[in-house]
Amino acid sequence: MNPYDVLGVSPNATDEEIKHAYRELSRKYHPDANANNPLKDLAEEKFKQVQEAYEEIMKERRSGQRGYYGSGQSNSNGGYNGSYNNGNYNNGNYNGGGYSNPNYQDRGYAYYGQRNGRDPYRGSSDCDMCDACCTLWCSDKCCEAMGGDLCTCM
Amino acid sequence: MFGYVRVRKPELKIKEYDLYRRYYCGLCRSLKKNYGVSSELLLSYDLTFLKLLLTSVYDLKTTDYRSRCIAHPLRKQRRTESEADEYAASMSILLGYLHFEDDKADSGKAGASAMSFVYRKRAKAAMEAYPRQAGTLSAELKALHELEQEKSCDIESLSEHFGNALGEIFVWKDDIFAQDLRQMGFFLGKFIYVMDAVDDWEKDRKHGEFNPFSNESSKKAVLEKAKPVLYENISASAEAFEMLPAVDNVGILRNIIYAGVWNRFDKLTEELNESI
Repeated sequence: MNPYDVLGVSPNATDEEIKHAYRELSRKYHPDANANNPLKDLAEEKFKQVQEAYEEIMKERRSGQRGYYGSGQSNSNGGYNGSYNNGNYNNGNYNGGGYSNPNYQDRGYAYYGQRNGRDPYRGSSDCDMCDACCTLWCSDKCCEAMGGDLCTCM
Repeated sequence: MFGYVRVRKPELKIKEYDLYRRYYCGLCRSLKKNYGVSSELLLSYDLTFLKLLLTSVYDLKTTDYRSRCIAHPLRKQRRTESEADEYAASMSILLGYLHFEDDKADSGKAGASAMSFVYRKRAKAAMEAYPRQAGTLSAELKALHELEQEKSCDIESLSEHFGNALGEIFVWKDDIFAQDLRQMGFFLGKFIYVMDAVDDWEKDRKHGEFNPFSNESSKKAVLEKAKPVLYENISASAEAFEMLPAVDNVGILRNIIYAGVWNRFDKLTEELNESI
């Protein structure tokens, strides 16, 4: 069975959406929550399916079969474009420490650069003033409602 | 432990900080409940993080209550407890005891011997309850101690031993999350070891003690050498974390992993810039 169907999410769902779906379903079908349910065997079976589906999806994403890290797909944090995919640092003398995937740490940079970069906690390099001015200028020039004549407004 | 895995307070919401404190106070009470009053001394931010992480990943039920303690005798403190408390408390005892044992073997200081004696019985109980973790922890810390005795400056090998120890601690149960938890702990352990070496560099140099960065001639060189290593390890740890279904309290967890862990490094960099 398709693991995405089990969790009820699209294959393009973000990690965050998958986690929420997993959490919601695992709470619903958890054996403790269905102790007095006459269909508890069914619930337990479903719980196992949900766990396996989550494991499968994460395994797939970890191994990059869907090309997630390099696909330019954005996640819930927005803006991820895979540009850190090759990492800014050379792994050089890193010997793996028992983890065989050579891209493991490189891919870590994707997450880290995107979230830390030092992004959400260190402020952004975007210029809010420039964005505001550009938006105003575009609206002014293009949108009929703003006095322009390029776009027809509803 | 080391206290590097903590929140970056200014970046947290007030309600998140409040919750974090409740988890911290809950772990303190759990240490007292399971291992006696003196065990509260082993309370750490690092193990509070583990409790928070496991509670979130396993979606554990939490209980809130208020109680007084030695540190806050007048005002009752809000505390949050979960099933992961007992485990985090046991790991605190194990780490604390093995750390004192290591110190005792290393320097033979009376303080370390006394503390090791105080916690011996409690550590035995924790070792019996969690033999897998205790076995790995003691083997890895022993190997680390031997490497340090040889004065090896191979930061990769040194930090790997501590990484293996922490990786084992992060694996609470043998289930589908074990692999990611182990990887997360492994790289976080490596990060902590390197950060500790950077932090202690000046002190160790002054006292002529071993430090993996002892070949470096200045604090600036140490920071420059350590930064990519730290970044490399914490990135890998963060990647494993993002594979885990941590939904509740994920804001606090991300605050710690993406910002809080750098508190000390940023402080050292700031101090260096001010001194120039």
